[in-house]
Amino acid sequence: MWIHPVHSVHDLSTRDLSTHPQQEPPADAPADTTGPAFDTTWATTRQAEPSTSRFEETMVSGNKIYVVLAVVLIIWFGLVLLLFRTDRRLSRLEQQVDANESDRSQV
Amino acid sequence: MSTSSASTAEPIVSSSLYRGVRAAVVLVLTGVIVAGFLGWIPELKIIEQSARNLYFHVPMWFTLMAATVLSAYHSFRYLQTGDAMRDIRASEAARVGMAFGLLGIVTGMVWARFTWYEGTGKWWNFDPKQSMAAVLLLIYGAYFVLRDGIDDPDKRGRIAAVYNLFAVTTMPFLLYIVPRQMQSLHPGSEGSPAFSQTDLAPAMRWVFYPSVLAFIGLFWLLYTQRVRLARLKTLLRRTPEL
Repeated sequence: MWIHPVHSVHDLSTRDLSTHPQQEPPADAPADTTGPAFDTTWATTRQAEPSTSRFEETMVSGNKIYVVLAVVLIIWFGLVLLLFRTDRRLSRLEQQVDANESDRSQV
Repeated sequence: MSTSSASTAEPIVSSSLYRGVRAAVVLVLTGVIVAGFLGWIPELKIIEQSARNLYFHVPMWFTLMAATVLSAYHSFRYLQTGDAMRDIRASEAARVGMAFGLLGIVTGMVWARFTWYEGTGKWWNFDPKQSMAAVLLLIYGAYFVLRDGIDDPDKRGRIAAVYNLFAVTTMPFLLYIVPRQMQSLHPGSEGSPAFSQTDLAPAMRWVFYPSVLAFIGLFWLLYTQRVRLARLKTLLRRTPEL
């Protein structure tokens, strides 16, 4: 009941943004004229194989809704952290101020 | 000021209650976000996946209503006791509540713009509930202007409390009664949506109701923080040498 329907598998070949700048260009792309001197990676570096881990498969399924969920959860936990830190600062300040107050009232 | 000095010496909230609510809010809202994105929803035309906004947009309004009622309660108690902390609680509840109301208006604008007004470029469509909510925010805006405009604390507390009690009486009319007399995007013009069996798919209720409670809880946490801060400010202002 909770699982979002999987609409499509991850299909690299049909997308405009399918090729990462550091990946091999497709075979029909114009020849790179800048030469190896300006390449961003060493020619001898092995290009990373496209990862097909279970984790990555999960993240890109369901039209990548899980990526949005991850982003929203990160933001939410960041805000929670802020809430906790503010609580701690308030408590510390209250301790200081209340200690000073009771000192004053005893005088 | 004799009564107020007694109450500012007390702690604002029991720390175990606060921690309990905080843990519950973090757990439930995390669950609401996950279920809100991944949970099953009915497939409907026009509204499509944007139906998930129900879990996030509508709780803003429940939170605003809870905030105005809480604020009015503390204003009422202020008039009974003259306790300065009651005045602070009333104004902080209204302030945090208005933040939720503003978020409710903006999220509603975005939702309607790309759902019922797709392709029209209309960000503001004068839906009765939308307009009345804006009126309510203005009424509470005047409360802050009024309260900040009076220097004498006793006079400020009394006048602001009386205004706040008038302001809260407009809330049910502006958010419930008037919008239900007119054609609206919002449910309610055909009867009470609270008792309707068809307005909300049963599976969505399991996310929606916890979401409403958790957002009200989140409001309460932020409100408590602000009251604690305002109490410290009052103490430090009274004893400048601290």
